[in-house]
Amino acid sequence: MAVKVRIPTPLQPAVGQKSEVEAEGGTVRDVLADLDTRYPGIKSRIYGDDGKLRRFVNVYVNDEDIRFLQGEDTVLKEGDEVSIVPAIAGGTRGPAPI
Amino acid sequence: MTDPAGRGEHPEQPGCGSSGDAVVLSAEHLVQLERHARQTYPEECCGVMVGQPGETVSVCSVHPTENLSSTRLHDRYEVDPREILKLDRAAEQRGLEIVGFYHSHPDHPPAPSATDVESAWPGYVYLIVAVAEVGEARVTAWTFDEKHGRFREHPIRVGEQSLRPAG
Repeated sequence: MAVKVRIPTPLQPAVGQKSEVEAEGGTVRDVLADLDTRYPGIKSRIYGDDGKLRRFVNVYVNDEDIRFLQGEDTVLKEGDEVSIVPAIAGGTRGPAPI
Repeated sequence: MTDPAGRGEHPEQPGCGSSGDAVVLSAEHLVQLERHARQTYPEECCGVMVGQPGETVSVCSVHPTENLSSTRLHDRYEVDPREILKLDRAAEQRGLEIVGFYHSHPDHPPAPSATDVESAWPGYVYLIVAVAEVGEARVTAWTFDEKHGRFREHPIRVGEQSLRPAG
């Protein structure tokens, strides 16, 4: 089953500068794996070396964070939209070496 | 009046202008940024910028969001990802994109902190609004150079004059 995957600006160079692509899979995990098959290398931007989703990456199915669903095992149905949403955080605490 | 990079006042140029390598904002956007930073002072504020990407990033609208940081609001910010998703969808309908984010540095210089570097994404503009109890707010613009692991400052353009980075 193909679903739409929204790609945030920083990851768009890895998918030919598209903001939305299609990928196949019955779960979020499958879809993200298929995404890497179609666009080799994107997985390393989403997953850390430990195989877990990176700390500053959120994944949504429609309007829900998968952390509040079944994580990467969240089952997808026809018409669902998977969104990769960057976690934007920071703040003051000492100057950076700029 | 918010003073980008502390360089004096500049004429307003509303809408989405364009000039090389600069971040283009209207005077009204700068007023919005300062207003938000003062509203939440001494805590940090944050928000989203929608506009036109490219070598020159043109900001078309500024959207304050809630700071989701559960602790240490005075020196941390976290933009609500649901707001990012919502604004991203709305921007797409207008043929625009999320071009970046802003946050304030209460009683702190307008330069990225180690915490900012840790969580930085390439491809977005980060505006930092330095605000104190007294005095003008200062706004600076940065993008993250992933290759070198550091931020690069960009001039902010309001109207005809280009404000060069402080260096």
